[in-house]
Amino acid sequence: MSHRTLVTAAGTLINHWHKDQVYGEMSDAQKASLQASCLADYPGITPVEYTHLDHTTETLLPSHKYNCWGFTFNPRQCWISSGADVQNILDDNGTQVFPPNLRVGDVVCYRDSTGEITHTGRIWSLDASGQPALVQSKWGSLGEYLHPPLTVPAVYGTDITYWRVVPISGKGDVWARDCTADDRNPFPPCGAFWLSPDLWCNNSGGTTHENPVRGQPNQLWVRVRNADTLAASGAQVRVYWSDPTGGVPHWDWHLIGTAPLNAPAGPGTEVIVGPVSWTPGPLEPEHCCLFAILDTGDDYHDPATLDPIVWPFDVRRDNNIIWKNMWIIELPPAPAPQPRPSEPEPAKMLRFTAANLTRARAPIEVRVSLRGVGPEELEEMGVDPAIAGPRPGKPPSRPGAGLVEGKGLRRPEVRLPERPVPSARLQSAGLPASRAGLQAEVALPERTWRRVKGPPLLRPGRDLLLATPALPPGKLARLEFRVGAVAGARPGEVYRLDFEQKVGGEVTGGATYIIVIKEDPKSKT
Amino acid sequence: MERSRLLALLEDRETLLEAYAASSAYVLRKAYESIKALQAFKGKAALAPAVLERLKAHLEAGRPRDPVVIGAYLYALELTGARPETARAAAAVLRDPVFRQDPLVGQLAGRLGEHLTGRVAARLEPARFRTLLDPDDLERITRELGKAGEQE
Repeated sequence: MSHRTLVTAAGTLINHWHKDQVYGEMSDAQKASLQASCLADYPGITPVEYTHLDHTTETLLPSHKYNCWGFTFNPRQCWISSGADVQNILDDNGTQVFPPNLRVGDVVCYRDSTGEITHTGRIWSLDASGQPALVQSKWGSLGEYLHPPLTVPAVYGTDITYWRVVPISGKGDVWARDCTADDRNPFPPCGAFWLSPDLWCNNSGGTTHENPVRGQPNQLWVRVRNADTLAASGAQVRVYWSDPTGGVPHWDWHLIGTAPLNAPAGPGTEVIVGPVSWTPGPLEPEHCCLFAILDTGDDYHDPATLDPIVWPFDVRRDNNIIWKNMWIIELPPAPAPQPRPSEPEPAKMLRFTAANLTRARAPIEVRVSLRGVGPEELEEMGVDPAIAGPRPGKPPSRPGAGLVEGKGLRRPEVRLPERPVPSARLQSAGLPASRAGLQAEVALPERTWRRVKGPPLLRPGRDLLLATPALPPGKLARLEFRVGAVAGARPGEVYRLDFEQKVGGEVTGGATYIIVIKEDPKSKT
Repeated sequence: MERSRLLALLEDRETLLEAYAASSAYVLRKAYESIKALQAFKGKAALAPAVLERLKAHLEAGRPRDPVVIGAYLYALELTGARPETARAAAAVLRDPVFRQDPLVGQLAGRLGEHLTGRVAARLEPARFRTLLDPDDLERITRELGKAGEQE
């Protein structure tokens, strides 16, 4: 009945079957009737909407294709036969976790009063106290729903435990990392999950990231891992660009191109896919986001689809989807301090666009942080440490040492509101050279922003937190930063300026600028 | 409740909704037990022949196959207390190659058959559902059910 052999980490076979192949799929009328009854009997549940890669959507209606355990452990591919099989998975692949240390995507296991496993799902969202707010689960032959944990058929019981589960083997599992700490589960422990080390632009065939160059062909590459004992063949990697916002709606993912994906059986194999060639045109912003989807199929109805995309366009939840929102800029070092500086130091204007992509009005929070980075961290981010060029003199003892606030440092003020972006230079007069570094000054050209916390002068350990009032769905809010080197910033130093966007308490995305202090070659001539 | 309305419950999706939410034979069984309307079959042995007849009609070739409905018929028969009809129904379900391989209704019929043939004395207990009856077990139970149905 099944063309796959599913096994736990300890080699225990998982019994499963394909109900749709035995009975055929339900009729549309039967699906509609069951769905209507279910929605009427369980107010507060929401049918899950699936967005296909062609941007069409499908409501996941009642279906014989998979059950709750099939959704949880072999997404949308089969029925796992019994609670005993689920117990084996939890025993061999799982670790029990407890609030408040739960993660979105952790497995929710329901038992009845006798202790038998009756149902599973995955945490969809957490509340402010770290308790599950919504669970995503498939209800037997009924539909797939988002629901409060206890809004379920009474037969599932109320004894709920939470588990972090390493994926089972035999189902297919190509994946790419959101960060180096990615553990293959939804919502891996990544801070800046928009900095995947497995997606990069390099026009020399190298494996480090460079800015794509507008108007010329660029080569995009994706590193794919296969964690499963099944090879992946006939799949493809899709690469997209988008506007660089702090949460990118699927309709703003613009397909650049595809490359064939064939990954030998693992576990632990790795292939580099590409290049996908891209010539950014004049309509595309200079600084774009890049995305890659390891497209192993988005039609869960098709029995030939192996390891289908579970959460399309959802970078954090789906381990087949990665994001790169990094832009590298160079700043010349500041001139030597002068008692009365007369010329502004060179500065660059950086932008960040926040977006409310939820379905409700919500405030947007943006945390801005600035710190120095060393060569190891650059490598971890997939950036060639050599971008800094030769460094004259002794390097700082630790990354960011040049950012410690010095005596006499003047803090630029947040300009409120509706004020043109200030043209004032970043002050460095009187700053001891050894304490200097980089300063960023925020301008708030829209009335939407207010400063919640932190000084407008960014420095390590004192982030700047900005917020908007509740904005309607789809609304964008822009921020502009003027960044310049102050006295003492030396060639060879590298900084990162991170923008992390949060909506409804959840981090939805962000952007990172890598700022390299570099002598302008022209200035030497 | 009049007879025809009672029998109609066994095919009513709204009544059986909780059973459609089951992912295993154990949960399916629990779901039937939790549906209050089905308890009306308890002790109504006189209804058993009609329930069995309708169940057999469902098993005929060409009929839409809904395992939740088949399971409801088995459960209702068990509630009536009419052992011969229940044994014949379980055997009929297990002889059907489609329902027999179904880990929900096939296993439910198998466990019911085990109980009816005296292979296990106790009623259906949760722990009994932890392992799946394999095809040999189901074959043996089907044969024994056939004999039991004839004897009774």
